[in-house]
Amino acid sequence: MGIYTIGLALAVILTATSFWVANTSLLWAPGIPLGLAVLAIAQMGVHLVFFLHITTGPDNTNNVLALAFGVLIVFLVVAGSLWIMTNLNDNMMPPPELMNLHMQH
Amino acid sequence: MIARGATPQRSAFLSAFFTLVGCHGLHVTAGLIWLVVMMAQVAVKGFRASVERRLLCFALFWHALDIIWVWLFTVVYLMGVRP
Repeated sequence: MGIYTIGLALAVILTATSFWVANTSLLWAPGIPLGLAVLAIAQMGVHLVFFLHITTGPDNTNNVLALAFGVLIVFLVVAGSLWIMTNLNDNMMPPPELMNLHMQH
Repeated sequence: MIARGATPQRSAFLSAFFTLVGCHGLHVTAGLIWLVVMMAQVAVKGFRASVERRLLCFALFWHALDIIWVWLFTVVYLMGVRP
């Protein structure tokens, strides 16, 4: 069985599990988003290993480092955005009377 | 969805939904055009070194797009349907 077939099978299993998790009532509801996040990250890992051929071999060091750098940049952008937007939300919310005025338009 | 009143102006979720899915759709469209170009190059020029390098670049783009879709689908659809 080829490496792409294994990857496809794993991706299909993870996707099917995600659909089941999102639609079932058997699981504890508040934990479902976390479970979906875990399944999604697992599938991203499957794609990286089986489709983009990221390995631990010495000839792959550059690719792993480039991936790590990309993940770092994405983390900084996402975390920084959330940080700034939380701050704006806390400090720049207009007072209630202004909000009502706005709603009347 | 638009016909049922689910427009981007309705909520922050729908704003994000249309921005994310729309941008991803544009990338997929560009990727499909790229795919056709690569098929034409393979058909006309064959597997010469320059074409193989372009194929590698396209494969990288396409699979990276796929990885982004996994996350997008999870956040926008699977988590979006939760009450």
